Amino acid sequence: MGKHLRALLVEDSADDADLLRRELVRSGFDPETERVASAAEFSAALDGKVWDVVLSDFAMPGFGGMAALELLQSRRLDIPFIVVSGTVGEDVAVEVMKAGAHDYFAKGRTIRLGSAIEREVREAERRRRLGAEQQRAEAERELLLADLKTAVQARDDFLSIASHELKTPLTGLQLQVQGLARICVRDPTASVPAAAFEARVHSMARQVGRLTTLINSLLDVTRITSGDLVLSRERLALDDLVVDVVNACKEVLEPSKPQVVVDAEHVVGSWDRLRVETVVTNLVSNALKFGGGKPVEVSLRRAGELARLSVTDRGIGIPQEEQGRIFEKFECAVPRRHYGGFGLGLWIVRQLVVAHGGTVRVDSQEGHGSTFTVDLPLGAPVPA
Amino acid sequence: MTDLGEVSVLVIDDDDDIRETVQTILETEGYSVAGAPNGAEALHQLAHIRPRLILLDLNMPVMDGASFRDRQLLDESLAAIPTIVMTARANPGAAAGPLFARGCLVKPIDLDELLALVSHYCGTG
Repeated sequence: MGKHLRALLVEDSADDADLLRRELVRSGFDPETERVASAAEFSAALDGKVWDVVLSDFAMPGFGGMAALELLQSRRLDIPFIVVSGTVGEDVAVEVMKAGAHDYFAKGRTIRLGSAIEREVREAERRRRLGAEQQRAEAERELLLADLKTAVQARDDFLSIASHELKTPLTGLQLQVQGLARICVRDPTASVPAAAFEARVHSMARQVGRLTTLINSLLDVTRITSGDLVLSRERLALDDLVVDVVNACKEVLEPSKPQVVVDAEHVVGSWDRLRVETVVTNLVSNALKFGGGKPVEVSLRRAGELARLSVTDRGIGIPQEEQGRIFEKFECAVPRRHYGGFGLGLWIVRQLVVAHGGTVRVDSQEGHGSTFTVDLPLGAPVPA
Repeated sequence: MTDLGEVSVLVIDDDDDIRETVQTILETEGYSVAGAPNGAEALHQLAHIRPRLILLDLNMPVMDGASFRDRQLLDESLAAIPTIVMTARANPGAAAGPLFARGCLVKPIDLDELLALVSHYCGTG
């Protein structure tokens, strides 16, 4: 049994079509053929079935090889089109090949028709495969492009938020500096009461602290998104670190601001000091920001091979439906514009905690405050 | 509570540091200044004080600058108080324009610009 071949024959003579079929069998094919002799029949045949090859007479009454080829091309069908005609002269052959036919043969001289068909069918198959691959690559490119556009948009949004947030502490700082400069310029011998001077310097230090925190979180975001986060673990007493961080947060706070109560068990483990500091700082400053002016509780316990840190506030809380996405980038359950910060604090926390092999979760009730709990594995023992 | 008319400037900004710094500096210049952390608190104070100028931040919790401005303009006794918007937004014109403010201070605020505006509306302290 020869190779199965679906050949559509455009031929007005049934005898010639029969000769063609025989030629196909002789060439080793198992042909499945249909003969058409008009544009309508040709169209119907193309609609009805998938064809491997079209073998077309050139000059027929009413419908010729050129017309068939044009019809095939107008339907964007990439089926090998081979002219087999008794009247084909050199000039016509050139014309039909230029028009896009794949080959031509004179009737009665079809000895190489079989190999031509095999070649063209193989070529068409290759074109189809390439086309499909190209389409797939194209689709992949489109997806990639959409991703990139989203990423660029996110970065633009982030930059605009960042510049807005940086300007707030900058405003306080600039006014204080210009205010002091103004006093000096107006009266070089003027003296500012020590208490007033101290208050203003403290205010400036606070703004510098806020700027530093914002810029550090910018750097964290850059490192995390570029996959450049390498932990540098060292042996740490987490309780000491927590107390230090809370004290630093208190310094940035004004005296009127809420209290932070620390209840820390001695827990030693192997962590990246700066990153764990960032985690604790973000959680504590969030609790202070959203704590509604009520005290914030920080607790540290050892639970088996874990250090468990909880930060609890009694503030506005987080609605159930928002709790899932507060750890996402640029998300903040409270409309971001109402509060300072990039909306990235908790995202950074989660990234850093996960980098340590830990977990972070939130328990919150709207109106009753939130508890953020971080579980950090103590980590491989580091030689002291 | 301050008596009616005594206050020159009301500063409305949710950032304690900015509000208090502006307050301190204007007081150093001899102005009497009141502060409010949001629009609602400002309206509350405006029941008792009649400043000659309002400095208004836009992004604030509870009641933001735009809502405050709506309420102010609807109240005949408050509508005429000159109001200057303070904003860190990238497009301050677009942010302040719809509020029919007398002017806009772009954060970080320049002290000379601030003092020029205040002295224009309140005289020299």
